[in-house]
Amino acid sequence: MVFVLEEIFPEVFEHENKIFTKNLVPGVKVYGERLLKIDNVEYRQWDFFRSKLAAAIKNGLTEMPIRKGSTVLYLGAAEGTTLSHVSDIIGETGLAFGVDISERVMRKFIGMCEQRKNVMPVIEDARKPWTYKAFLEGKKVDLLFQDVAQSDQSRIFLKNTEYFLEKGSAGMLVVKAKSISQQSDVGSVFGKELGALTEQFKIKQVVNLKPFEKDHVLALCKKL
Amino acid sequence: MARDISQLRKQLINRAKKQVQVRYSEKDVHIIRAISVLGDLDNSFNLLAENAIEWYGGHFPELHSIIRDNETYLRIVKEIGEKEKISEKNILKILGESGKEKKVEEKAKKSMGSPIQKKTLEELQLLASNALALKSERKKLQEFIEKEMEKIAPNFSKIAGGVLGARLMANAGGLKQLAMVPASTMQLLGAEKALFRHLKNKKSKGPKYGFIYGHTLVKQVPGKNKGKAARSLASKLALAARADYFGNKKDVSKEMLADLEKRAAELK
Repeated sequence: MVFVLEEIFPEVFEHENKIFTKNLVPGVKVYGERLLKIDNVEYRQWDFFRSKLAAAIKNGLTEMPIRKGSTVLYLGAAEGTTLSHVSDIIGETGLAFGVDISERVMRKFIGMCEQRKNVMPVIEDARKPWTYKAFLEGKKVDLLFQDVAQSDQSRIFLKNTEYFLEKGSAGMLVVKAKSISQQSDVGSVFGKELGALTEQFKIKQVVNLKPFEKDHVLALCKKL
Repeated sequence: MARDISQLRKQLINRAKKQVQVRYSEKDVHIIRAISVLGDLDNSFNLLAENAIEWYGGHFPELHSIIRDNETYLRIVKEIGEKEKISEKNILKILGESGKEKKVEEKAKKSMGSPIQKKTLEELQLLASNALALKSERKKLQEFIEKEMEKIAPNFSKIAGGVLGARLMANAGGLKQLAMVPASTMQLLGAEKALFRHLKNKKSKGPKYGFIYGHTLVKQVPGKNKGKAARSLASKLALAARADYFGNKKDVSKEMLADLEKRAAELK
């Protein structure tokens, strides 16, 4: 059987409608995903249901701001499911910071950080970017990724933008409508949240994450 | 540059590890876990007890209509066994003075149940003793929760009671979060489902109480005043939680309890 792997984005591969990244730490699974070995290179399957970035790729994301060597700031890292794939993509020359407020989920994440040399754990509140500013040593990042289930999602995003993004770099914001308002119409919540970004960002694409996540969109934008 | 990063990485990992350690040395984390275990123990006990009662019911179907309490029932199964062995005397030993011993013996003699094999009974008794072990673990755990709550939140747990207080704290997310909760939220902790149903659809009525429905103060007032009692109790609880977290270890619970008793008398 011949495997055909198509590189759809830098370091992201597609095979039979599933996507994969090269495993940075061969032989190790991060969250029980499938491993695939082709020509002595090991690939990890990227689960659409567990990672919102993967779901966005599946649903037709047109541009991928992460490539080899990128620096990524990831807010809402949780157990590091998505971040492990980001770590695969950016490779040893890249750098990813995972920020999360909950010690509970970071327990697992720290274990991953010990295996992957390009990922760093930060247990802080993403609302207070100045608490972890020092760790980035004044560096700007290539991508600010945010996936937090908080009612002030766009405010958190803009606050971090101030500290870590420069003109032309990319931002990805996952908006979860249900954590902003339980009552109001989902569409208007998305409109309002993304509208808050337009002053500082050019929104390039908004991807709905159906059917993998309910009432979620991922917005890809560029800092003006 | 490369060295810088590996050093930074080490530093960050150590820092995060320490933060995790600190978090798990806080007392409220253990109470939150314990309260979750308490709920699971209850569920498991009920599940096993139901099975055992159903099973023993083939042998002595009349027993369940006399002994409604699962724990007592299981003790009869475990300690006596076959219905032929049941006598007024040994039932009295298990039940204490209840006036039911005569009835049990009578029913046992005239029971329509089928005989039970020795091997089957052994299995059944093993099941019963396992379920009873869960029950005794539950009792111990409850004591642990009450003691620990008393230590970390003396005022709050005196008003709420140990287990109820722990349940409220677990739902709020911790001792600090509990102290930040407004009284109106305190009143509805545990009623989130009903609250959001109401917010989405105004036709369904909003809840008046969450966990605090189980508090004696709310229980003792008649139905139409329960909402009022819950409101008063919640406001005192919110105050007490703040006194515990931010205050200087002063005992304010006595005055509050006196106030609440007065209020309860008004509402009766």
